[in-house]
Amino acid sequence: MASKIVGNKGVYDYLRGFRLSFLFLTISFLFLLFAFFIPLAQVLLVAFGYGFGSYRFTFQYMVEIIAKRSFLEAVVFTFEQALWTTGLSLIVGLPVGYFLARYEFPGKGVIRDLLTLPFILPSVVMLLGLILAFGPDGFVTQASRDVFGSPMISLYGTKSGIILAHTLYNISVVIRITEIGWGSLSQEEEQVARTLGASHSQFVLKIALPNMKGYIRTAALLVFLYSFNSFAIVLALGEVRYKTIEVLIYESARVRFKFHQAATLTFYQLIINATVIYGYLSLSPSATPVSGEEGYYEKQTLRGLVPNYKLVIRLATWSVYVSVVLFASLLPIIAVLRTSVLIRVDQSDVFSNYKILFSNRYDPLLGLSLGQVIRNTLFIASGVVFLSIALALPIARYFGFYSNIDRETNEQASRFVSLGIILPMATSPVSLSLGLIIAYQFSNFFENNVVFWIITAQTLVALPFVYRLISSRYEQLDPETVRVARTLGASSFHVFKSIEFPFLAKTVMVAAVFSFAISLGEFGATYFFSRIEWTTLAIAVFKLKSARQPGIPSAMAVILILISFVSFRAISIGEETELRV
Amino acid sequence: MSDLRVEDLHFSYKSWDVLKGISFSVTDSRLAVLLGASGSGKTTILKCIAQLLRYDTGRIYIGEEEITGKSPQELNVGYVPQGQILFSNMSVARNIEFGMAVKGVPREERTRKVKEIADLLGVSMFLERKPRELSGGQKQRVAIARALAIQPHLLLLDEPLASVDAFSKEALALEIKRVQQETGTTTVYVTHDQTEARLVADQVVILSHGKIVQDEPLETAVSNPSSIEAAILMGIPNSIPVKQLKEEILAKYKPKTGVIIPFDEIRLEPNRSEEDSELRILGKIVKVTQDIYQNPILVLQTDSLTTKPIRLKIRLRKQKNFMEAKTLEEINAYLPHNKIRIL
Amino acid sequence: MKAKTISSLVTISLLILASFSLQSIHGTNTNLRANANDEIVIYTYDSLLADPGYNFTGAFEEYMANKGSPVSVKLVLFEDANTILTRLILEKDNPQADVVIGLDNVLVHRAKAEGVLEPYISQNVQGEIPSELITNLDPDHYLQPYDFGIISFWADKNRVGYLLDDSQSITLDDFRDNSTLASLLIVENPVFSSPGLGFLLWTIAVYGDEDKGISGVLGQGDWKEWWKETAPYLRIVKSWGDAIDEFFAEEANRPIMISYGTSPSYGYCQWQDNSTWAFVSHENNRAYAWYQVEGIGLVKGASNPNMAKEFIDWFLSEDLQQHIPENQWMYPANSNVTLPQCFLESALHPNNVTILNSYIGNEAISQYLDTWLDEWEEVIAGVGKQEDSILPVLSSWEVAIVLGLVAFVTQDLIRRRRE
Repeated sequence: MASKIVGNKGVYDYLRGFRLSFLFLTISFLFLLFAFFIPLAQVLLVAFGYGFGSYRFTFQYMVEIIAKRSFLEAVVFTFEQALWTTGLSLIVGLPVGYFLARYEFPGKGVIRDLLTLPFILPSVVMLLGLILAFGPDGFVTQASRDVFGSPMISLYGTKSGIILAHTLYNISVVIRITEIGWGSLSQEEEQVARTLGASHSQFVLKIALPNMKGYIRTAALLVFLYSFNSFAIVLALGEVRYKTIEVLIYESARVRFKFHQAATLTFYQLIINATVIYGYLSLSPSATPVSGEEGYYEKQTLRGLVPNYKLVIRLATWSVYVSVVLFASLLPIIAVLRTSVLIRVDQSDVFSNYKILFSNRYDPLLGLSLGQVIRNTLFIASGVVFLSIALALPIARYFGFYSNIDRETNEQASRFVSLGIILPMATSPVSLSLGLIIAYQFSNFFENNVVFWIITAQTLVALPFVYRLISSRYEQLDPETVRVARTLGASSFHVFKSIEFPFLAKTVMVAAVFSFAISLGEFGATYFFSRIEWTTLAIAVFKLKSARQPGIPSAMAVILILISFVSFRAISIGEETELRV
Repeated sequence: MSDLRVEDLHFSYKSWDVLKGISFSVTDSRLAVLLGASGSGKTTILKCIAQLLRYDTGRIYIGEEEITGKSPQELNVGYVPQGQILFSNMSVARNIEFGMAVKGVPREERTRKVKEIADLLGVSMFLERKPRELSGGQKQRVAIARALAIQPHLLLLDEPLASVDAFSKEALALEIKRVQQETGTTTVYVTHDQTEARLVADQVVILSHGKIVQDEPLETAVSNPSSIEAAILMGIPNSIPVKQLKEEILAKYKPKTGVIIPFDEIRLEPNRSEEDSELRILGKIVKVTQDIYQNPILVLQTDSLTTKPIRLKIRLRKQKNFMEAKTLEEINAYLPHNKIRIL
Repeated sequence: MKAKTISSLVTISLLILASFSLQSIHGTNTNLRANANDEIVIYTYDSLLADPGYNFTGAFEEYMANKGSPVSVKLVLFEDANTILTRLILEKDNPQADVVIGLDNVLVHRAKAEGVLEPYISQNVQGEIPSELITNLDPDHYLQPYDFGIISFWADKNRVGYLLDDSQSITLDDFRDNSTLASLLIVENPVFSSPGLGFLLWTIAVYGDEDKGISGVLGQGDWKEWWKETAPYLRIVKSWGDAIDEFFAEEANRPIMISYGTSPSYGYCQWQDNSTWAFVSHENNRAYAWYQVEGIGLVKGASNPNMAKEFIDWFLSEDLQQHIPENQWMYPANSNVTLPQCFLESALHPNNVTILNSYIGNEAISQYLDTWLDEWEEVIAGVGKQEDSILPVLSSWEVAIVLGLVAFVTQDLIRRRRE
């Protein structure tokens, strides 16, 4: 009798305890399992010889590839250009970061935004801009030919072209991070150093730079990771000689159909990335001292300074330097904007290129009408927005928040989960797609629903960012409010609707905008799957980049620039969430 | 070592006049305490002296030399800012020798000097540690050692005990005093805490709203405050500014800035009638406590003197009738008119 | 902003996005695939009949309209033939195209092995297409020939006159031994481009490949040597289109490229410009060249096979074939077409050279093509790079920077560990 009651009560409890939120949580986990972990495991299996007709484990592929010159060359080149890019971006960017942190002047916000712009642009836009500026017919090349008699740089098939492209892209990363670093330096330390007799350069060398190590390291690792995994730029500019591992994976899988080789390459790339990211996480900047300053003398303003020749020279040097960096980083954008209105289909209408974008004009190079490209892009992007938020929210909610309310400590579990959701970050977009293809290419569903896989891959790219945005917002929500609401009898759904969602709404909106922008600019995964009928704006820009009619891809690129910029503004207005990649 | 002279110093920030004509001097290797509430401009004066801030007008002399417009590097002034600022990337030893290192003093001499100074301040055992491994008090010693290592003409200390834990405060204060005397360095010491001031000062400069309200040797500052404001800042108990006093009291004593009820002159005599020569204060005893020498202190809450009730401290040393008093009981206290200090 | 405003904003924007997506699913046909009998999808490369240009899709549409069954042609253009084949393989299980134009007698082996084509014989042109072309392209009729020619060097007299003229007999060895010559040459990447692949096979047929039992014309068995030695000076581009852009860009200073024996006719027929000429390699005083036959084929699983066949028939008929010489600048497959005089005067006909294809043989091509591409990539990856203008100067700096960074990171890591 007693046991029966207990049994009934158990079932009843189970039914009552069954919450919709657990259903969502389960869906999120299943997605990660099937879209990421199983494919990743498959890639590793294939790398060890299992799959594609052979069903025994072997180190043959792992060993074979190490002996290949093409692989070694790619590895050496990948490291080489990444280190070059890192070094050059730091050398150029550090002083600008200093300038922004130390000087206060009208219009500074705008200049900072402009300097940051390249960092948030999709890589294809940067690529197109570079081609339009520095390519054989680019306006910089033309100008340099007029002035010096020879082109400034040859963009295609040279190391310097690729390094230039990556550096222009990454200076902004360095500026952004080191500006925070310079700004966090203690004013007091500088004052003490000065009273102790140190000159300004002694202060910078002996105190400022050592104290900024953390920021410099973060910036360096980000730049390194970016250029190490660079795809679109190297694919377009590297030609036969220069390939990153990422490009090699793509060509192995999608041009030569060598899946074992592609999987092996992915394995090695993953190891290198994981090592670098581990380094980044374990070495990220420790808490920096905050100065106990009374409030003035924080930034040097121009007002009230007595002009003398030293000051004038210093200011002039700074303005020349910053203008040059600004101009260089904006060159690609200028090139794209200029081309989109200057080289147009219909001479009488300045905006004809833009109008054509939304028309149903068929483009045989794309195999689609331009309007369809826009519709594809929006469809995929909205899918990514839905999926990434729907998947990130339950995990962030449960592990970032509810685990602390319901149980006392679940720290281990939630750390494990955050690792699991951030792990796709260590996996390059091309590798993510390779996993999906290896795992599912033989299913009917795969072939008939390629767009689903494009959305899935892009969601995996966006998910870590969305998760971090939402979970860091959840961390700001006081658990007491929820506990109080519960004691007042509110259901879980009700709590979510009336307490959590209003609290999160702004962040969710920011996350939506952000994942929208990621989807729009995403190139690697989309190109990997690319089916003509699902061409997106980014793919179209890439395909049309060297076409005879550069006005159309430029107009597409301008749209991508605008959306990236708006989403970037939304994030910085949104809240003080850190924007670390 | 060198005398410091500040003349008519004005400093403004945006539209706010932070310093409105500051003049004072410190001579004979003495230690002057700049005492004032927060926002009174103490730190600003220190920074002006170190030439870290550019002031609007005024002159500052170290010795006979006017230093206005010089750069901080040229001054040879030991500056110890608030908050135990050490160079976090350097060891203690390298912190201390920094000033010598940038001036190119040879290594052997630096090492010798570092050891000497570290011994003086009792930090020799930490020399190889990094700042984050030190306690607040230890950091402050290192910061002072670093400032002294350049053999400064002048030592400037900004709230040196501010974030030192309560137990070490007094000891460190006395240590600073000792070191200052041993090295004979003319020192300006900024604090808002009169206890500290009493422990270290040779001279007390009291600052209020960007102006000096009193500049006296320590003894005079305590025994003979120039105004009620100075008295409050010096921590003299039962200092009541005029704006709190009742009309009748104002009429009776005609104070300019306020009155002080000396806390060891009050008599508690519950059952006695008022005499003409005395002021009767009616109140309740709300608390019994101790001063730093563990003498019992009674706290009497009264509205006899002021428009709103205030609490007066009464030293119990001479209170024969104390035993009869109980807390929260109405009680009469008496004070001879001539003992009241009118400022 | 108030929380309420924001949440309604979120909801509204999500709704708008949702409606967009639904609209794009329902509103348009996102599938490229022809879904009606009056539409076909054609995959080809972007230079097909492109200069000065013949609108063959329009012509076909007109032709079919006159025949009473109107059709619309959807043309999808690719950079080069190899890319088309890659695309067909990727889409094997869900084919989008009906007709493919541009796979040649080399790529056909891979296309057949991957099973992306359906055999078809156009009845109406029986006898008009020489059987020799059919055997050379594909005796199994997975592809039918529409044009042919030889791969050859194509050079600009005005710019190489100081080194070469059309009376000289150039050998492949000349390019190997004379780096000045090699640094004037543009070659297409055989992984992506069919003339590039033809040229790779040319070198293999001339020098041979010992490991695979191919002795070649010269019987040396070391085709890789040629590439190893010339690669530092060659310009290797992705497609024939890229090559021709660079060929005409004066300052690139590359006035020789791998093209076709018919390429000189382009300038000669249009502007009587005979400043360019085509030449092949003269090994042991005989002219040798790689023979290319380009084919049109029916995609396996095409959604509109009948119309596709209709198109292929038309494409091989004189109607279309007469436009091949002066728009495609190749020899038309249909023997009924009369070649213009200018064409005969300037082009290099396969009959004038010894064809290299038989030195390798179809068997070996289908067996070793992939291996050869691998080997070629290995050779190219291993050679020094002469093209980089800035970096060699800085290379000692480069080493210093790399060492510095490595030292910094190691020192830092060690220190952190210790702490």
